[in-house]
Amino acid sequence: MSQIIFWNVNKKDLTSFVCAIATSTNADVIVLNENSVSSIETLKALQKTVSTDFYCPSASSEKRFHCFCRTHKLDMSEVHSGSRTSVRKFQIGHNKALLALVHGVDIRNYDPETRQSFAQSLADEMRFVKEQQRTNKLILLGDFNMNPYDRGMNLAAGLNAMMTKSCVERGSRRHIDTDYDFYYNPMWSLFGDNTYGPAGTVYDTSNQGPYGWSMLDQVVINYSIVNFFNNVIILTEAGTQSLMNQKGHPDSEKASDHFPILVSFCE
Amino acid sequence: MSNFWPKGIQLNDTQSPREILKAAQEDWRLSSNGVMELVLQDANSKSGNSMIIVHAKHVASNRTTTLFSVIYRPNHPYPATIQPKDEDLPNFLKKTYYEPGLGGFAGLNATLLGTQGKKVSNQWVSDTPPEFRQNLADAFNLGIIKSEILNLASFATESSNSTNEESPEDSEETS
Repeated sequence: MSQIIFWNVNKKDLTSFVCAIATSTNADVIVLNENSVSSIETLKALQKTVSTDFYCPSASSEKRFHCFCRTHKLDMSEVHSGSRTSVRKFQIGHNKALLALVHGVDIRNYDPETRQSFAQSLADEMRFVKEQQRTNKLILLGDFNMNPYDRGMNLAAGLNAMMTKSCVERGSRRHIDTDYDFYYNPMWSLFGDNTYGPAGTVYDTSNQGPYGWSMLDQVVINYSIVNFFNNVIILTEAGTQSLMNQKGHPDSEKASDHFPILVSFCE
Repeated sequence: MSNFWPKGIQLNDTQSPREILKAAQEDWRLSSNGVMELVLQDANSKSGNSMIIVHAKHVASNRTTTLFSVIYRPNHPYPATIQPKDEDLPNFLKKTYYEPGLGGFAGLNATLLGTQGKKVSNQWVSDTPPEFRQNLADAFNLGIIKSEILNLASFATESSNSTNEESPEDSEETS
């Protein structure tokens, strides 16, 4: 089993929480978005308090994503960098897959149309990467700044990400003479209060968050490797420390305004 | 004697942005001795216009980075504009940057003095092939683009030095 943590740490120094999560989950890969601490400092802390096995996989750019890996067998070296993406090799058992780290344009400064346009640009970029790397075994993980129900996430020419595994069984759908690969978005299963864990990864009741909870942090998986997907959960604790406030929302004063997510894949 | 022929237009030079980018591809191949390649990807812009996304590729490692996009109207190659990659650098790493004025009373003062408004021009729009060539050359010489190319090349070299030869990628079909 390979486990990956993704967390938007909201430009804060949450190194102690990161180390606590790494210890309690035994995650193989930790990806931090908007980390105000240098990757060298975070790496030193992980090596000192969690495991000396941690290292930073090679990447030409570390501006947006700080990536820490505990084992070389997963690879995680960068094969493509875009302005808001970093695509890594990701070895799942004997399968050579790709893991694209994504940070979508933010909700406060970009309207829904611009974010939909970003999703379509992202989809174009991912098609290019799949073609260059000659594989369609692609996983996207990150803070998309969109919900699973936003148009950019499910338009055919966008990310084409569907609600259930059975929705993506047929592989692709055709739209204006072009076939688009389906992606499975397991985050749908975590919405609301009738499921285990919090109802989303971000809580906001301003104009940017009309539903209260949003699921901005997501993982979407190409139909070709859905069988390797095991589970995704939203984390509310870092070891013994809670990441929630008294209302059960992300405690943005103590930690981040996003909860981390933990994704696992079978080998 | 008057000359009403528009300046900058030569009827023997009607290369489209795509043709000029193809020539740039050949320049890159020759100048880098085949180490680096330009890869052109067709797409549509958010406004439905034609877009060519320009990527750099380190051939030996098959690693890529997105450089910028060229946008024009369908079937109308000019005007064309180059959209450089966001220069996501802190100010101390930029050669030039805009320092916004002070807010509050100083901002009010700026309004009274009539110094608040400023003309915004887009240096990347080209109306003719020579202008597009010049802008394309300028785009390739932007600090951020040079940095990306060097990062890609040096990172790929470091990786190949520090790791054993990798087995060839699975050549499975993309479906």
